[in-house]
Amino acid sequence: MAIATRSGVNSPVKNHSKDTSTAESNTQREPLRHFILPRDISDSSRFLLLSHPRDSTVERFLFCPERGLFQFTKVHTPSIDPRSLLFSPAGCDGPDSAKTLDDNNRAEQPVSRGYISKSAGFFVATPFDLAFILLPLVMPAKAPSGKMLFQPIDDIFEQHIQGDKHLRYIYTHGRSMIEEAMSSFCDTLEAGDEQMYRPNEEKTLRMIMQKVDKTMQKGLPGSLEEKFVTRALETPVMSVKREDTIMSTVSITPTNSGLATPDGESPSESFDSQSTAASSAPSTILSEVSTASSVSTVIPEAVPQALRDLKKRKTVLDFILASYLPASLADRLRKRVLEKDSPVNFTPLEEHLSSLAEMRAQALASRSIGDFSRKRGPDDEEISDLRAEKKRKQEEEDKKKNLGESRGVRDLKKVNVTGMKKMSDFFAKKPVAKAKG
Amino acid sequence: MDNSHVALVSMMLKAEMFSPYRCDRNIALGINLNSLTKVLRAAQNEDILTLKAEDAPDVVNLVFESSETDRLSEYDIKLMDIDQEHLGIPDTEYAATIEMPSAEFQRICRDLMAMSESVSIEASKDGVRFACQGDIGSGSVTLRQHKNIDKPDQDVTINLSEPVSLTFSLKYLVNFCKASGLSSRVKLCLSQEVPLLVEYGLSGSSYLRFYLAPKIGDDE
Repeated sequence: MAIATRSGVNSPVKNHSKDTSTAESNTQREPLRHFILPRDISDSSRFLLLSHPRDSTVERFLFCPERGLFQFTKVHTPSIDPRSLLFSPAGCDGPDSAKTLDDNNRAEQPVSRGYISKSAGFFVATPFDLAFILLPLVMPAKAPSGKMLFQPIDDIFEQHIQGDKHLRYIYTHGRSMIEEAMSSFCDTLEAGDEQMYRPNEEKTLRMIMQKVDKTMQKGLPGSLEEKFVTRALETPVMSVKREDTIMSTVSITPTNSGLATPDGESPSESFDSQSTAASSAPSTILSEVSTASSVSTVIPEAVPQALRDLKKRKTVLDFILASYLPASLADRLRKRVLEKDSPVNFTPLEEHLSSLAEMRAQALASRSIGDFSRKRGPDDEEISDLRAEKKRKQEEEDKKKNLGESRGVRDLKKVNVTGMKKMSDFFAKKPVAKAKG
Repeated sequence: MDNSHVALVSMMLKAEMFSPYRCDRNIALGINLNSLTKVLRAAQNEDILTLKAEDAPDVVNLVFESSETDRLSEYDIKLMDIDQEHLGIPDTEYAATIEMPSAEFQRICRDLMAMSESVSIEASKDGVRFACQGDIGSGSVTLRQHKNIDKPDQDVTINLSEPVSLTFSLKYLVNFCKASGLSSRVKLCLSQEVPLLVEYGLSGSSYLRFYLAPKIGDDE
């Protein structure tokens, strides 16, 4: 997190303490919270409590009438790796900057002399499309039965802003933004000097797809891509492995690349590293190839780019639908995606994924058969050794125990005593002391 | 008691059997029978055995003296805590009391053991019948009151106040019969719904008594 600390100070974004009252008290009772806010936000920016569109829980947003809406993402360190943050006045910038900092805070602040925060967590404001906040308010929860009416924006929001001063703040200070956001997912109609709006699911979907496209251009974060795209499209390794062993029994052949595709749907997709290794050096003896078959990574290029893109697109879309839209609306939009006239067609991906699932099932089946046939692999020997050791110990223990008892006692253990009552049922316990004699 | 708590053995050695006998206060000594057996094996046939234990002891002391060879061996056996509860055994009036040669009883038990796991002992005024039913068939031995003038050891006497029929585990009985060497006579005492008492008389009024719970229920 040290990098984050530096960027917090030097980066274009300015570092604020959350509210001046905590900053003014030199001794902090509870640790300050740190926010990285966008630079040059207007004075009328406010922290607002808005209900998150996903599950309508109230969350904190930052609203700037000029820059738009921001949500806060908490960046925190794992508890197993504790860190702290050091804030220091930007020394290299000269005394001027320190001075302005002082001026800003109207007093000498702990921050101006440097400040260490025990917890390294901080909040980053990231842009949030206002449309997502408005969608659950405007879109009816159930699918509209008939044509919806065009309504002026005041009518639409009248009810919502009545009891919600946070929402009202956006409404009064950022009306143009609301209008813009509304028109991104609503049909509009000019009625006199007033703009009328009618929510439109198709337009909503288009808007979301635009966002998806934008995300596609920037690319997914590596970990996400690995998990949801590469992994999902991986061809099961086992099936290929098996083919490898078959090949090794056949002969040396440069045409193995053709053999390695199980269903021929697309020749390259079922390659994994070992088969590509084989094809890159077709003259090597294939038994060598099969020895290398423990490597199970998949070369990403093996999957056609179109499929990868489609899968990526689907991942992004799913993410947006799941995290920024109410569930009912998300379901409706999902259905809309599946329809024929939707802006994107996921059918080839679905087909491919189902064929993959089938192959995986086959691979699993073949693996379990394989496991069965080699009951005593090299690993098993150790286990059986361990088991034998355990057994021997157990026997020794038993023997030791048996030393304490005679053969007669041991024999009597085997006697069937069903139907026989215990002696204590017949004879009462002797009061306290010891038995006579 | 045995592990399953269905049998109990009680041996009474009266003070008259010892000479000298001295006991200042009642004391219970928990002795591992296996250990005792081991030590007793060190004794020779004609040895004089002295058993000693102190107050609040942690060992029991055994001394074997051979009068012939002036040999003296001494053993200490560590005592153990006996967690088994001591059961008070009341004096019971039994409905049937059978006295017979111990060898005869042993014989019957062994023979029937070959047939089945359990034996039913039926005492009626006609005599006492040991019957069993096994996989290979069934068998029974019936004894009647019998008096042998020449050898009173061979007498079979049956005292009966009412007929009794009970079933017992033969394995336990066979184990009891190992005491046959101690006495030529054995006394079986039976009453309905009460443990069987197998008593071997020792010299004087000392005795070795075995109790065995009857089998009740569907099992023959």
